[in-house]
Amino acid sequence: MIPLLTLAAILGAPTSLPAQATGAPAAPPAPTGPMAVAKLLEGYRDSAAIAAEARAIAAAHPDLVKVEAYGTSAEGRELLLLSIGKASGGRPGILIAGGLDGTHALGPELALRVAKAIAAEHADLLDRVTFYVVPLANPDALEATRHGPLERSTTGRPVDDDRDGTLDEDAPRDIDGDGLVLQMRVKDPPPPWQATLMVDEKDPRLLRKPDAAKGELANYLLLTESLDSDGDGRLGEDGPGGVDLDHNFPHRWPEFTKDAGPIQLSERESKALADLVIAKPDLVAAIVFGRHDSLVSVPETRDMDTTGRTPLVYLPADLPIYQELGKAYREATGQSRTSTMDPAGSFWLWLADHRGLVAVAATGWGRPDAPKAEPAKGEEGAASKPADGQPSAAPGQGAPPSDGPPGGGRRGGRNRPQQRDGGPSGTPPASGAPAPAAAPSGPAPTPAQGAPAGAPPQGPLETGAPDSSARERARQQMMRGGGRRGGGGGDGPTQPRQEGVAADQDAADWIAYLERERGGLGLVAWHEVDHPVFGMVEVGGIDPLVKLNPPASALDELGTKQTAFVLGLVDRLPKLAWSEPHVTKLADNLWRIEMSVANVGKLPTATRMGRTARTIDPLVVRVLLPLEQILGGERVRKIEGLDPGERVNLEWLVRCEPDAPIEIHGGNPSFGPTTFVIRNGAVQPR
Amino acid sequence: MPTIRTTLLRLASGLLAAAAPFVLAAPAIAQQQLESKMPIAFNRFYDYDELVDLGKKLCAAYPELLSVQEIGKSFQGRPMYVFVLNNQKTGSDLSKPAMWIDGNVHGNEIQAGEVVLYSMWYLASAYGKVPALTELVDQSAFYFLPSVNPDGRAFWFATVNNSSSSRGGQKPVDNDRDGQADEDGPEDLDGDGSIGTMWRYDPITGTHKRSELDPNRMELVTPEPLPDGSLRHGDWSYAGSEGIDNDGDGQVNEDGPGGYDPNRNWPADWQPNHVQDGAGDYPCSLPETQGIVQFILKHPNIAAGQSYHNAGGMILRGPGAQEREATYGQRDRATYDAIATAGEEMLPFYRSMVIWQDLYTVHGGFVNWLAESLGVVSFTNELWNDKQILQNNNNPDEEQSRRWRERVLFNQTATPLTEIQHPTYGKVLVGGGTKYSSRIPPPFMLEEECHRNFAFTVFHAGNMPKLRFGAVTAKELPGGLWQVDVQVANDHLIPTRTERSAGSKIGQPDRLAYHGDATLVTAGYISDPFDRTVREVRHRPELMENEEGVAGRSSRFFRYLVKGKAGDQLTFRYSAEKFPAGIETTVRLGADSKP
Repeated sequence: MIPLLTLAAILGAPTSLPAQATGAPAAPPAPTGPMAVAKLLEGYRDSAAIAAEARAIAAAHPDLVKVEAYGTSAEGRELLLLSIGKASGGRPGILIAGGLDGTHALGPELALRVAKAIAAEHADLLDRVTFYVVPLANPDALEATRHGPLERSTTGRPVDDDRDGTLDEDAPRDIDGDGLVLQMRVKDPPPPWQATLMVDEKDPRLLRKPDAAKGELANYLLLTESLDSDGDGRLGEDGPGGVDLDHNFPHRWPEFTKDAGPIQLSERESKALADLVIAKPDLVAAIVFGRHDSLVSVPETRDMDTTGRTPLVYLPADLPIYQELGKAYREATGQSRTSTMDPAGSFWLWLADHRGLVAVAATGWGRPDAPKAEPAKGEEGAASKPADGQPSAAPGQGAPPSDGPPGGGRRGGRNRPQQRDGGPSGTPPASGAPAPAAAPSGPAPTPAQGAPAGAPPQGPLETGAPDSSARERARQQMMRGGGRRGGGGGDGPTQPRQEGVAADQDAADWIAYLERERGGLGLVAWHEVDHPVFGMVEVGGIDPLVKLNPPASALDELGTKQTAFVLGLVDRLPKLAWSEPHVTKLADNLWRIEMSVANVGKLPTATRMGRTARTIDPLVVRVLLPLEQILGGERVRKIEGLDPGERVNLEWLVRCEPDAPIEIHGGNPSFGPTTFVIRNGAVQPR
Repeated sequence: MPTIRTTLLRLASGLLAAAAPFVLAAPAIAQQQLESKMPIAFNRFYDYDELVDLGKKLCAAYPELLSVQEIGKSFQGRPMYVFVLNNQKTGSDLSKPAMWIDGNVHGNEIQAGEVVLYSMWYLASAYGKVPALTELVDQSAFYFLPSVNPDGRAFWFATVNNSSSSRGGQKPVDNDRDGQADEDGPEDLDGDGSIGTMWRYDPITGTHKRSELDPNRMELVTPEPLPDGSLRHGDWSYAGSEGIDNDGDGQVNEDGPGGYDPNRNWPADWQPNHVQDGAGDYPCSLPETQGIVQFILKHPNIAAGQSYHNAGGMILRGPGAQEREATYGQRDRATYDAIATAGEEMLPFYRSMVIWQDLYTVHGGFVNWLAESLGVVSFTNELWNDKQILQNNNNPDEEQSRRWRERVLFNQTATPLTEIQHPTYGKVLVGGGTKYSSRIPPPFMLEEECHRNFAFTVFHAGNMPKLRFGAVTAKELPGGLWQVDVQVANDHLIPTRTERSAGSKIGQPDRLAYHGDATLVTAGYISDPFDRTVREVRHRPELMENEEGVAGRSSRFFRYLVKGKAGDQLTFRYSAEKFPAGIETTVRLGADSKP
């Protein structure tokens, strides 16, 4: 355990800044602290190394792997695509994408490892499938995160988050100069700030909500580590960048929320990614590595969006596919814990609902459980580490993490993953557990006009509810976005109202994990710092990077597990079986042709969503005879989709001279083409 | 009682108003017949090249007012031009409230282009001659885009079409999902230059027969029992629009050029094709849409929007879908109603309507984007409706329409039914209306259509926010403290921030800045001059943010507490995105400070 406040011996003296910041304060010390970002991401590749590895994979397998730039980032970095497959095409495509978010350094590592494994060890699969791998969709954000101290999810294009006509002028700050931007807690904050939390007596590192029934009164305010560089009374509300690519896609685009962008696909990175997907009509499935998860905890909602015609998450008719894939994922990876985020505007949700792909999201890693035996103290070798994803030893830890990316701006909180146990429906959290060291929503703005001049930043919103049903309601509300009736703003997702007493078990578990397995990496004890707005505050918390990114030593094993899941997905791909045409002579020059096509794979050729959205090309079967020679049946037959085990019979009545060929072509961009030639009533050998 | 001296310090007018006066004592009669340096005939239609060429010639004729900006290229590579009307002498366009006016997003809705051209032509020609328009031009800017859909317009003029075809652009779409795009469009089989309708000879089950009075008219035959017990039937059946089965799949004209709706591709409430047919791959997936959106996003001074379509005689506002009703609050609805009601009077046989409620549901529509995502008061006018034929508030019946065609249009818009041999259907009758036969006014009525709609946009533009400082009063309090109340008035109908803008925090809030000799102690909002309590702005009161803006034809009041002495100078400056130049006033404590 790191004793409370023992790290108050801060690196350097408390930063002292003029109380009325008139301009930008002096730049904080360089990130030299032991907890600097570089240390948290030790062993992870930067964007140049990711590009180099992508090129190396292509160079090692020139006949199978092609690397190309599908676009350029805002800061001028190439956006790279690896195409892995046979040049002839006509096979179902699987997209694997990572690195949409600059804090999920794990995604590119996993995507590259899967790509390499397929090219090097599983090339035989490429008779069945083509892979498209985008290892790093948002290189600028990863670079910004690695540069520190402010970790960044968003693209590099500056956005005026606080609408004051100045760009990126009040970022969350590394006040204590330890190289990280964490949280700060303020005891008895001066008005108009309002305390919302109190110290948890069970673990004084944690804060919890007071219990009004016991007459408790809040005396702590929790905020992102930040100043008020522009002196507008809002702290850290206009940081560098940008737009969060996972809030920038068209399905349930969260218009008017922070980081969502001025229009859908406003960013070069998101538009290039969308155009790439649209240009690949052979795609049938997609795996997106990032902060989102749809596999450990399969979203079960059956609700539809405000139009009533597109699902909130998955079309109910397609849910069995995702439940099966979730099961396969948990078995292949052993991951049992993940974070959940509102997928509104995310890439994977767009793939699923607007493009009709079998699209899933994976975090790739979840916090491992404490060993069942007495946990060893301090950091031990890998030998004592529990395998990632052992069954949860302490079910019911559905609480949110104890910190998150900086809040502020118009509506905060969207960036915060909430840790959640796996299983299709999750497990109920311990009820009535105390609150985490969590950021509450900021104090109420003071001006009654709604003018936010005096409003402190709205901190990252916290979730967590006293009982499972309330928590589920909150989740549902989050997943639902704007209600059909669209009250208030009338459109766009509604931020969940975060009420109730939250559990701190998750925060406690993170602390225990970091102390046990990572030597306290990413864990900074509260320590006093002089703050220009508040006087003395305590800075500390858990860096979000260590919650998303495991030690680099685990990457190879995680890559192997993800590859196993991908191989399982390939095994499930739809597969067509054409029956040989059966030709009957009815009269001279008059033939009946009967044949069939069936799906002998384990996934449909098109999801129900794909059929609804008409984004998956139908199987087209053409008889290459003039229309007037076709007396029965359609010359161009379109089959919108075939479920596993489904067979469609095709039948024509045609006039044809005995020696003239009758050609039948079948297929679509994912399958085919398959050709049969009939002459004199006999099918020519293919 | 302490000495309280209340002084009305100054009624300051806005900067722009001060720059405006340009009075020309032209006789009224001269205004009735506008002389232009660039005469344009408005009794005819222009294809895309002619339209933009006329726009450029206007720019050359009025270089001090009009300029042209290329904002991108259409799918087929036609340059898209925004014509900027602005008097540089009274400031840059970005320093003024501006109105966006476009037309013809649907390629077949051609007269929209002429209405936009007329609007820029009239304003440029009237400047310096018509005081009301001179003042409007001096105080505002206009962005004109005559055709949002250059490819659709060009295709409509250049090739065979009907009044409804070429609605979209020319980006190929595989409408029949057979793996081939745009492979089976219509054909002009009778050589009349238009796509008419086809009737196939069907002596056994025909639903229609040729009218005995008018052989060019098909009459429905009701299937009543005849004396012999059989059912009455005709000898012709409807066979769709003119064309053949190009791809041999047994269907005629099922995958023509394009096949999408550019006015479903905008980034507000965009929905995919299964919800909103023709929406495109994603919002702004079309180069035309993307170029316009980028232009508009860079012009936050746009305070009013107008888009022209045909047809139906409508003044439409959003929302396009019922679930978006809440995006138009009561205050915004009142603004829309005030402008649209004026429009109904200026535009006989036009009605003010709400898109989803009175027309149909639209997701991803343009004026919806302006209004709902950008908070810009915007209308779509559906130009021309058939009530304008009889001008008695009734649509003409079939006989009246025939007489109109015959006696007024001299049958120029009709093609007689002619018999031809169709490769799939055998004997067919082809004919009907030409592409000018509906939705478009006859040329002799075009100019009136242009002028009345232009006048409507002048009314709209003339109601963009106009700010001035009203009463600024200072009251001395004991201890060297002064209470200064400041009134900011908006004399026009459109608020500086619509309810939508304020509610969704669109764009930047208005700002009231203070600097001066007296030390600012605190400041805030009051609801009226009699308000006793101030709602303090705790941070940066020297630069107050006013999210709500100043409503139409109303005022906002602010109160400052300053420490100072008589004679101190105080300067206030109010700025708003939709009134970018802002206004400024300087007052002196304790003295009448008339300049």
